[in-house]
Amino acid sequence: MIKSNQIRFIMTMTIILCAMFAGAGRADFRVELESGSVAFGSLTKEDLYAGFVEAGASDGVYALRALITDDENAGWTLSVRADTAEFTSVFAQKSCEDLLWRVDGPEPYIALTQYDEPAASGAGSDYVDIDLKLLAGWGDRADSYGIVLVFTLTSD
Amino acid sequence: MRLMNNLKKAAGAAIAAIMFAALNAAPLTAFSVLPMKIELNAAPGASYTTSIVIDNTGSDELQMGRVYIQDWDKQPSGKDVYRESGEVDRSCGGWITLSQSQFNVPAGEKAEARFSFSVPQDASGLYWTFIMVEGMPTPQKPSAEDGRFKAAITTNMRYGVRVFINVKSGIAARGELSSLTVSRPDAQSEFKDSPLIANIGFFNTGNTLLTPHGVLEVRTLAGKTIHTEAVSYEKKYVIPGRERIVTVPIEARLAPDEYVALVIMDYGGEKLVAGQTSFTSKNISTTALTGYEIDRK
Repeated sequence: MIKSNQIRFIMTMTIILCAMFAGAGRADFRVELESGSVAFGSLTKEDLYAGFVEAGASDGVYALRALITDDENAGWTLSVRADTAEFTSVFAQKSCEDLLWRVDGPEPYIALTQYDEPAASGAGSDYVDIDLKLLAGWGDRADSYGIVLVFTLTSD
Repeated sequence: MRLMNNLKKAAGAAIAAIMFAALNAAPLTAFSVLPMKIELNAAPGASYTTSIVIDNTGSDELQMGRVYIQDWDKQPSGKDVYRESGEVDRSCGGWITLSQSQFNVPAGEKAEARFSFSVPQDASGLYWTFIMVEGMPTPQKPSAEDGRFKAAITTNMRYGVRVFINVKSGIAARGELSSLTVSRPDAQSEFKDSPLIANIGFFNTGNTLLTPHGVLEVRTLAGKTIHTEAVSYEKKYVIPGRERIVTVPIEARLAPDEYVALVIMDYGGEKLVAGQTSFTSKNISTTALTGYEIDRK
């Protein structure tokens, strides 16, 4: 036999859970990045001999994940570009095109430019996983390099 | 009593799991912009005001975000090409005045960005641009310099709010078939399993948005229709002065022979447009398009 305080408790819990999920019913359209940054850290001698270092090289492993919410199947395109033509650094110069990207999978990498390049498009909620490859060799000056990747979401 | 305890335990565990998942899923910076598309009917010489809402769904304050105008154009494939404001012939970017170019939005709150636009007296038909809303990342600096090669990538988000302003004056709906080819699909194509595909180009020669639809017929040289496919530009609109190409799969196994591909399209104008080409199903060499108009009657 369920008593009245038990019924009150169940009702209270139901309200709390409903409130927590209240946002789920709202039509939404947005992109969220799972992480705000990717650190390649210090490159090793092996990386420099190889001429590159990768983040998310294996299939199913990614450097960045963009979560797209499109509740109403409006359709979307996610594009990527570099914010600046060169990496920021203390002493050296390095072109943004030394950073390559691809949607996670076997396709070849694409050099990053300041022109928006569509990474993926679709309709409905989905995620887009991005792999990164940084070209770096002994010709590059030892320095701390940084660059901003801009993801643009549009709808038709 | 045991039921009560079990319920409490189960509910507690469920809430903890949900909150843990929500906290882990929450990105550092997250915001959305609504609406993502603005379509306004306007009169020449008139002024209007509208707004977009920036919703900071993240856990940090959104600081120094930027709102600005950027033009866009469409390639025949439908790919957007971003341009500086004023670089596109039918841009309405110059008509728009933004109430603010920067914004701060506290975590969990919304902010409204208002903008007004004044339509020139001589404007007619469709004009377009993007209102870009861009976050301001905190650049991720690699750890202090120690004579080693280090690199860090920081991400930023941007939303392109597509703006169409349709000036209801001197509207001219005109278009023509610009290309028609038949070929085998590429191995990477979404139609890779189809025996053949047709690429159909439509050029908007008027000044308003068109979304043509129609039919593709494959006929023998004797004129017998042996296959029909619907052609639709739904969600693949054609803006004035631009061509748009759609790909239609031809789900028919054709015997080696010569055929005619015929397309008839209705774009909402006074007449229908049509075009045809002939091709051989073995070598798939397509002849030049012959285009013409057809009366609706």
